[in-house]
Amino acid sequence: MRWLLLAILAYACLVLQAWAFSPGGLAAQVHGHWTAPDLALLFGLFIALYFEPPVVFVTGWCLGMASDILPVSGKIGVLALLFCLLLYGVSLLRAVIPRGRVWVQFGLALGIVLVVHGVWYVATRLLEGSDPMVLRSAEEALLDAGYSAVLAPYLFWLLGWLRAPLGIPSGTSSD
Amino acid sequence: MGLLARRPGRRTGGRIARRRVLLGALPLAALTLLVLPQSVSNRIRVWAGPIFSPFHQVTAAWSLDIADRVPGSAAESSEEAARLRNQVDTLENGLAEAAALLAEYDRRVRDLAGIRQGLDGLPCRLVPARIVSPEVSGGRASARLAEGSDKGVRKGGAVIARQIDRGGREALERGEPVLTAAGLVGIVDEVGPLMSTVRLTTDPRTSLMVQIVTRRSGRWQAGPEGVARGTEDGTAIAVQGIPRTSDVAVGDFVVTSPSPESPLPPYLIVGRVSRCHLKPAALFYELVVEPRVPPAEAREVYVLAPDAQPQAGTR
Repeated sequence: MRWLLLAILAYACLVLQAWAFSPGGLAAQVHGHWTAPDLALLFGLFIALYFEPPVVFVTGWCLGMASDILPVSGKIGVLALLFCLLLYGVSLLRAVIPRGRVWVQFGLALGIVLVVHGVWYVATRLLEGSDPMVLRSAEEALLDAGYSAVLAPYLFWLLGWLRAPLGIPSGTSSD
Repeated sequence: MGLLARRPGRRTGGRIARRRVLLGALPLAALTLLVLPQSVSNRIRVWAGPIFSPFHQVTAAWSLDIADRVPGSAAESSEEAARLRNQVDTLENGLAEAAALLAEYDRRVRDLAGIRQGLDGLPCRLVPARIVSPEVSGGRASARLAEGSDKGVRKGGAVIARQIDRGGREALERGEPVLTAAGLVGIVDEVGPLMSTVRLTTDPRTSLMVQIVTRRSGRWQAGPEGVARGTEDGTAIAVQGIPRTSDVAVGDFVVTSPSPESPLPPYLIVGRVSRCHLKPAALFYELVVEPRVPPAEAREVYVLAPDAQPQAGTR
């Protein structure tokens, strides 16, 4: 039941991201870049804050693989690697992170999305054989991170209502 | 019961091993997909992409056609497009004409620079002119033909006199040389208010003091001087007075003489020796010179007029 619910929630986040936050929808164009939040990564971050590292590793890999399939170009596998490794690292530190605080959720989302998207943009450009455009990639990642960080507390609050079905004990340490 | 007791250590160890294998296999799978060709990634996207965008087909129909927001009818748009195309064509034609004019100006500037350099500081002014075709000069070609050889017409149809579109208004005077960047074309004969007649170098009435310039073993040498006149048929120039002992050959240049008695500026190219014949008992060569500027091809010319205010230090 727990795994099924996780799968349903992950699928919902991916569908919402692909449908609502596409160019022309809720995505915003800033400096020629379509900025949209990474709901899949935010969901993975939520999982990383409350679940064991092995679970987070597998979940992150699946979410990253699905995120790799959504774009129309680029190699598949980059986001899967980034998701599983970074979320695994967050999961290892979940005991010391005050995950219940809004500003912590905001900062964590900002940092994780910034790193994942920054590396992803640079890697994609390099794999396509073009200039990495590090500053441009950083700008794009920062825009995505900002949009994601703004929505993170709201998403975490919504997912918090599903703690019981997900098997997350309430009143855990660092909340 | 004891025989059926569990062995928690072995099962736990197996679970841990499976977990480790899974955790190791997932990144390997991602790396494998990463190194595969792009075509594999594209195929995966085509197959699996619709799974995560189930509403795409539905919402795509909701999007507004941008053409609905454009004011005006299709007919108005096509009229506007036709008008813009005509405008573009007009502008392109103007641009081509301007480019041709610019090329013409560049050529004139180069010609003037070349002529100036050849005149070596001579105080003069160059009046650009254009040789007028007989039709443009009001049908006077037929009148000239009727008037005969004294007006520059010779039997056989060779043209030995032309008209230019410059005259007294530009302060031209009789006897001024008419030339191009290639060489001498003729001499101003009659000056009208707006147009003038040019007697070509092939006209038998034209008499020029000339000098032969030779090139032997890569060295330019000034040769003997003589007198150049147009041949009877008006197609070439004959040079007289070249002694038989002179070193003259076909291809040598003939230029206006630097002698002070010559009314023309020196070293203006008249032509090149095309035939060099010496009779056994003759004292002088019979030289035939081909004009540097063929009379039929001359169009854009320059009249070399004296400078109204000669500069100090120049000859």
